[in-house]
Amino acid sequence: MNSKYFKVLLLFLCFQLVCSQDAVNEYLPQDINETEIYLKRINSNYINKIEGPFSSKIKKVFKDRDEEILKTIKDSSYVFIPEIKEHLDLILANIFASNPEIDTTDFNFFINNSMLPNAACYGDGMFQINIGLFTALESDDELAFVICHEIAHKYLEHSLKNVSNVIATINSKETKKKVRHVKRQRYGQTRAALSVIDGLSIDILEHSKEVEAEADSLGFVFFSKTKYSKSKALSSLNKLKAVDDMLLHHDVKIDSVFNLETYPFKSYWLKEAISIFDTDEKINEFKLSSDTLKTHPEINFRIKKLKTEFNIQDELILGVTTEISEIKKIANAQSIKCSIDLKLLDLAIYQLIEQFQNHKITSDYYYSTMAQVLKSIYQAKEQHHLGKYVPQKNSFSDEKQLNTIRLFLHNLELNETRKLGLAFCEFNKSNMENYELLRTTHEFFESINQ
Amino acid sequence: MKNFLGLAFICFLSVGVFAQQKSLSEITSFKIKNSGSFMDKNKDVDGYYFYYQVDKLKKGKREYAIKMLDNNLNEIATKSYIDDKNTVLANSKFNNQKLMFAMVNVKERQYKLVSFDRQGNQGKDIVIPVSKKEMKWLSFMVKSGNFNLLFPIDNKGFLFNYIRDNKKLGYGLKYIPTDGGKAWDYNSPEEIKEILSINPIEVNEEVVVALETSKKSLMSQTLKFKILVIDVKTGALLFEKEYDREENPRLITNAFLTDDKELVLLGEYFKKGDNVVKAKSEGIFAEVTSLDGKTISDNKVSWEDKIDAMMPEDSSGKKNRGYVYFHDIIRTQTGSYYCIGERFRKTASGMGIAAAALGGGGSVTQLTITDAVIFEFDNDFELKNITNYKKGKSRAPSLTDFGSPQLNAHALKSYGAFDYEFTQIDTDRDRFYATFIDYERLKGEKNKLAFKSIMYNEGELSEDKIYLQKSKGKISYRVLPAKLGHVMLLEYNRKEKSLDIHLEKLNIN
Repeated sequence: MNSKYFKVLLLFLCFQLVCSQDAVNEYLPQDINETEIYLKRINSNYINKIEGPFSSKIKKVFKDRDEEILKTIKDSSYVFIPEIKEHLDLILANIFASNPEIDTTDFNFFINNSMLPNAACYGDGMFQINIGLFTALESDDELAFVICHEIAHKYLEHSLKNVSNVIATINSKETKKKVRHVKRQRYGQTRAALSVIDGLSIDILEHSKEVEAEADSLGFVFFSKTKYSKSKALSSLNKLKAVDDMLLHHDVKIDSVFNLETYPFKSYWLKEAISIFDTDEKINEFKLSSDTLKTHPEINFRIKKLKTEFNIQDELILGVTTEISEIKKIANAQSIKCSIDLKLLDLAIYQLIEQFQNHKITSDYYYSTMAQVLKSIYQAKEQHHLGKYVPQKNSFSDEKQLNTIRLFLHNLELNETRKLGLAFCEFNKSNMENYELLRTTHEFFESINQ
Repeated sequence: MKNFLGLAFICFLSVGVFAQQKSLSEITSFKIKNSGSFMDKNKDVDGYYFYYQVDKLKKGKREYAIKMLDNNLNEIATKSYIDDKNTVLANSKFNNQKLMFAMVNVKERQYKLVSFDRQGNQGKDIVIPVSKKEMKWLSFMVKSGNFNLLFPIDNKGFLFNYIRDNKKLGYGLKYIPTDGGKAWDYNSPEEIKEILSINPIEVNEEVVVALETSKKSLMSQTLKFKILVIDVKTGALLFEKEYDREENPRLITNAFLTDDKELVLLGEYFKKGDNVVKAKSEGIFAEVTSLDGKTISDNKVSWEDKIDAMMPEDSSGKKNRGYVYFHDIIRTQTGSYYCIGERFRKTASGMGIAAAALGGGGSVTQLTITDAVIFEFDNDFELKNITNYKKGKSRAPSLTDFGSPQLNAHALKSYGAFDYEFTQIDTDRDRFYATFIDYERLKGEKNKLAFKSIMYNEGELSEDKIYLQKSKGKISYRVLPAKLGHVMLLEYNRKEKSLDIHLEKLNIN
């Protein structure tokens, strides 16, 4: 009797172990407490060094931001994938070894699950590389330049200087005088206050253009000491510029992707309602001049400056290099997985179609994952949750392709999603034997279509 | 979505600016005055507006901001609007050509109609001077619920409906064209002996159908109804039809203009001499009239002869129909009719009796509202089916113990005592969505508040349900009308003090 209970208990414990292993996911660091201690330590070290005018206000800004970062880590905004981290560490090791003057003691690079090709320096030693940077860039050299640029921000203490500058500006006698003047105004106080804010914002945005160029220059100095090809600094910026123009602009042809033999695409799935205003952009009679300024410096200006300063020559771009190709595959799949896990189902559909049509993912992966996304759409619609995760179409958005997908997803009815899901699985019946996921999704759609 | 190298870095700086400059952000925060939706006669929402006060200006003027969202909740415009400090935004509609706002200025005693074209340009304002009494009565009529202050006519113009004080209270119906047509006014006669009001209920590109109500005095509970059919182009009365108490008492719930240029009137009919407000109706009717006033058909279905026999028992097993309050009657594109109602009974109120025993003055009776019912009629107005939809009981104390249940039901309807919310009609796809709020009492489970929809599609009725409470009760919900086939869900998280607003499609099976 005892032995029987013991076996059951053992089985239960083994099951618990399997489950807990499954529960370990790539969205949390292995030891969250250790990460928390690290972030608090570097933040505290950094804050303790801050002196001078308005130091308490500056310290508060950095402290608040640290808490915000920790919250986003706990909210699964970052990914912790060993293969990508190891690859990144190799590049970092090369940069650090070539630039021994950089104090890297508190440095740590986190990978954010955003698909935007972007990176950031937080000032205290924490850096962020978006997964989108791995999918957009095509060599370690390009990635190394972006990292050098961010390290330059840290080396030049741009973060601290900018916060100090902003706080000094808004607490300056001149600003305070303007605010007092606004407060004394009996009429038109709000418009006057908006004008003061506008002036401050313009100063800050103009300043950031110079700061970015400065980080490019020092970043290039660090970069040029490494083994990486110098010309890739330009190709890196050129690629980011191209991606900026091209991001989410792949023509997904949704009416062709979901035009299935047993369930043809319906034209009303892309029917749009009449809008109140027939204008190309949002009407805003309270718009500030600073709203029209780009919130990032022109990459063209930076490329030109870098070329002139260091006499760098453009080089023919040869395509993806072998060392990064494996990481790109992982990053591509991870980017799709993040979208699905975060229930950004419109983005997941876009990524799947774009990556499949550009031969970045296999057909097995595409069909089984797309079927899984259709299942998630069905479940979200059934629970009346889809609107929480997938925004409605926005006529003024630049994201034309995403807009089409959103229009399609919101026009699609529950019973149509059910039929579409089944037709999609049936269309790829031949792949089912190879792919368990597609088979189980097919079974799901079969059961709800009965 | 844009990719900006160093974006996080910059964003963080801007946050710093605004976080530190609290006094400036306090000054620049707009004070909200009111908000609403642009809703047409089919309860289809074209968008939403928010009316803010921005600045105090000289000579008692104010700068206002009208922020507008499209029906997908995307911000499309923020317009500046300067007017007197006592200006209130009363209503707004869109007719596919223009957006019209009805502004009311209590101190200046005027209505102002402000329009914007589709490029967002403000048109010439239309000012209508009014007396204090007219304004007071207009406010009363709007609050009573069944009053269309501003009525859009798609691709043609707008109707503005207001009160005019002659010897007795009368009405004014002002037509404002947006297609280059002629403006006109249709007013109640100057020398009237009764109190008259009007409500436009149906329009097409040719005619306006309006329901005129008359009564002898303000306190009178005897109403007379008249249907007026007016030419949209000229404002000339084409014909009128009276439904008087002595000869033909009827309560008109809805009107439809068909593609065959016929007018279909739907509602309840009564015994000659009965007061439609107080008496129990004889049955339901569908009257078809040509646009020159000739009756083509007048079909009646009586409770006694037909409906009672087909009335299903309610969810508590009672066969007795009690009373049915009809909220809406819909005519589908195929010509069949659907009456949407709720069952109710007059019952004794335990609380009311206890209060009376203690010397209180409240009513000892109440209306117990139970299931939803949908009556289905074919093209010839033959009753085909009655479907009962289970719903939890709601109770509302009678406003008077001596009036009829019908009279109480009419009065309680304007207080929102019924569970019915609205019915949205999709003429393109020939569907309708009748919606209710239900408090479900479930065995072995915690009671749940649910938003229920009964939907008609391709000749079939189906149901959908959205629960409005999360398990831990930290999130409270509100459901508001949205674009066709959708609802707007507002989820307020009390713990995190966050508001999540999203649109969800109603699911048709």
